Amino acid sequence: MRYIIFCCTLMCFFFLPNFASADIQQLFDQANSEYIKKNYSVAIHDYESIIRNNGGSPALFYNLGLAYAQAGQSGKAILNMERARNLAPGDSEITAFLAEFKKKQGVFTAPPEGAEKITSLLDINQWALLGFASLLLFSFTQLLSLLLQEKKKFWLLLTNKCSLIATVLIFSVVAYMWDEINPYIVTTESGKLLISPIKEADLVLSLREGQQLFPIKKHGEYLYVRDSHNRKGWILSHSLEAVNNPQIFNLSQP
Amino acid sequence: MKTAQKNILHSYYCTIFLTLFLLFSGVHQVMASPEIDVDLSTTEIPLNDFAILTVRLINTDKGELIMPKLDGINIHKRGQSRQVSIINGKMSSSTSYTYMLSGEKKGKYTLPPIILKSQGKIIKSKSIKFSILAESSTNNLQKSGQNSTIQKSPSDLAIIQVSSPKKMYIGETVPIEIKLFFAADTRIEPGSIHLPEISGKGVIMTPLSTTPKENREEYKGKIWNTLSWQTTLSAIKEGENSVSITADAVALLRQAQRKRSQRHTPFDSFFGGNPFDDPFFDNAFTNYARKPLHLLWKNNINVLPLPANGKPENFSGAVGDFDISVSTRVKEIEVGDPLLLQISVSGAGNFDKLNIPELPPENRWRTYPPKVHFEPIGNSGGGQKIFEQAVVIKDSSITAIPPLSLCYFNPELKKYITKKSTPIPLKITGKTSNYNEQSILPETKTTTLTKKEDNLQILNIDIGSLSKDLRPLPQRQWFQVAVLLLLLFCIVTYFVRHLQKRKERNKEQELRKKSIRRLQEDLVTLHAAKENNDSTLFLHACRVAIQNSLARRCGIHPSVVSLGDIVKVLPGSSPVIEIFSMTDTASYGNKSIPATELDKIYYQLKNELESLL
Repeated sequence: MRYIIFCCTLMCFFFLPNFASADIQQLFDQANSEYIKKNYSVAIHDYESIIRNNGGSPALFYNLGLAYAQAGQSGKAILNMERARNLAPGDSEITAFLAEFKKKQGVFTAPPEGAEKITSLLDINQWALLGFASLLLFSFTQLLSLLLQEKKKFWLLLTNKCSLIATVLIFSVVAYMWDEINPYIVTTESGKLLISPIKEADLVLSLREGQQLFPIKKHGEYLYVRDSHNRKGWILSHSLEAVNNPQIFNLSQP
Repeated sequence: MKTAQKNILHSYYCTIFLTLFLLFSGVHQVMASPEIDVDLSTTEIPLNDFAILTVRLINTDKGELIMPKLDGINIHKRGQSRQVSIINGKMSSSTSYTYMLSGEKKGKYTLPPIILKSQGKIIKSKSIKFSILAESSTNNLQKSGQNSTIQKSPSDLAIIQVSSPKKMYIGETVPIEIKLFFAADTRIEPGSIHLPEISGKGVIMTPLSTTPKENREEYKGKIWNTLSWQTTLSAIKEGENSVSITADAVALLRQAQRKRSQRHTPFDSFFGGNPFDDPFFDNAFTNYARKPLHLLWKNNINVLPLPANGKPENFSGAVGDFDISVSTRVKEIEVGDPLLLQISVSGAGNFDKLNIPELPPENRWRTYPPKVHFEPIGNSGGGQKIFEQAVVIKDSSITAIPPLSLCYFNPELKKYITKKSTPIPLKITGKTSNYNEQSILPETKTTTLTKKEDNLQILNIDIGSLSKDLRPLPQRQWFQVAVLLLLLFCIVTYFVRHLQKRKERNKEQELRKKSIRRLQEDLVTLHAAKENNDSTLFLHACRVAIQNSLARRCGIHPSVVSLGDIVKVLPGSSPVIEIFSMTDTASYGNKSIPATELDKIYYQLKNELESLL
């Protein structure tokens, strides 16, 4: 009897998540079929409901981005493509499509200059992982040095010193990129950067849908932001949406 | 009063300014480069008829027009008109001269260029080819002066003619021409002509254009107005197929004829004659009988099956004659970047059965369903089918896009043909991409493709693993905790190592102190033995002092330190070795040392041992 109960528990443990994921896959397929039927607004609704209730994946955000692109909302399309890229930074398809789409929408990304040439070699996640790996190596060599008191080897000392230098350098890069860790995307057609946080304020510049901005501070409904050229100004916060916005998973079902 | 005068003066200046503006803009237009355009109303003129020659002078109305002279051809001036148009603020003007052109004898002629001498320039028009045909029967009938109803059989009024093949291969597309002949002297009710329709099971016809080619031809000794369509027939069912093409129209037969000039005027149109020959006027003064015309063409077409012998495996059903070419704008590409191949298949045949010539399946690239568009060339089934195929290169070892093969059946040669494109050299940069196999191999399972205009978009089908955290790694709590723990570990190990080193250093210092203390004790013993001139005790004390001092260096207990151990740790010239060997000799040989030597050995040993600490 105990054996049967154990087996049942084990089966529940293994199969229940599969049933759940099968349901999500079914919802995803349904959303895809709406997309293929060109019912883009329905597809968007379906994709977003999966994201709200279950979380997102690169494929899900990518498809949502495509649906927004087809529906003519280029800002939202770029936002979701960026989210897909954040989750799968090594996916060349997403990266290539995003670059192509941005180019078509006229969203210009300035080429990296100076130190940015080095930092742009990897994205922040990759740098962080590399830094973590070098820190782990340093810790390991420290432990070995502790254990092998009398028998210290040259290679161990060399690895120890190199891993320490690498850790410091890599985390310096992460610190340099920290300012741009949480970008916002302009999701409305008439995004305006104002000189002060009031409606009647003078215009600094008009923003293109899909343009990337970085928040500095908040005042009421307005966000003080800078763009990639370091031009600063105030913008209505509902004109923007954060790429790494955790609230997208917590919204209640409309 | 002054204000009124000012206003008058102001409006006066405005008028002058506007006049000057219009004058100069007009001058500008006149000064634009003059052109000459020539048009002949028909290129086939019956002997007893004439054609209208229109000469248009564009952007000029001044100059000398020199008309060419041609043997057997008469050109008479009929009128002149001028047209001025302003479109989007741009003004243009043209002057048209109308001439009647008639022939005296049958033959083919070329009207030489008409010359315009204007503003010191000589401008020539294009030359026009035309022919003078036999006399029109219409006028013969009219010349006979019949006033009663003209009774005509349908074949006299209209004919249908189709140039169709007797044999076709299944899937083959053959260009055909459908031509409707209407007697030139017969009026056809406007809007009564229906497009020819095909009936029959084994053959289908490409829909006809609503604007057929209009012409006037001589056929079987008669002049006919013709409507012709260029289209294609496609065989879809094997066997003997009966095919018929029908067309309907309504002829208006005159029952009473008004005496009216039947000569053609510049206002002639295809079926209506001049505006005063309009049915409104005719119906007012003349009775017409409506005669429905049903034109039928019938033929048997034998549709042959494609030969089974020599049919290639990749044959998709394309029948005709095609050429393949592959091009790409990109010559250098990075691994993982998409490459757009433009595969163009041109020729004539059933393009609908023509599938994309595929790249050989390989894991080194990934292909997506192509975007296809077809550009017809003419109405004879020719055209160009262009496949835009997206390819993602995954391997840096690729040096070229391999040749693509196109397989089709050529009905003229009656055999299957396989044509290959030329390979395209490619320079691939970057490292081989590490795509996971799941996303490469079952392409239809993981991705599907949709198109919107120029965009090639790949829709993911596999949802993948879901995550509820979009933040980058450095912002995630687990990552921060892990980094902090590792840092803490490193700090702890650093301090532990530091403490260990300190402890070691203290231990060393302790041992050194102990050694110094012991040496001082040994030296006291030595000194006492030296003062007593006891050489045996002195030598023994020397031995003990050396052993105590060098025991730590030799890594052994002091009592077991031998001469061999000392030689190993001290340089050969050291006096300590000599003293120790002297103690050895004294202990085994019972040898004594003179008292004078003891003092010297004491100080020498003391210095040496103190320096060794």
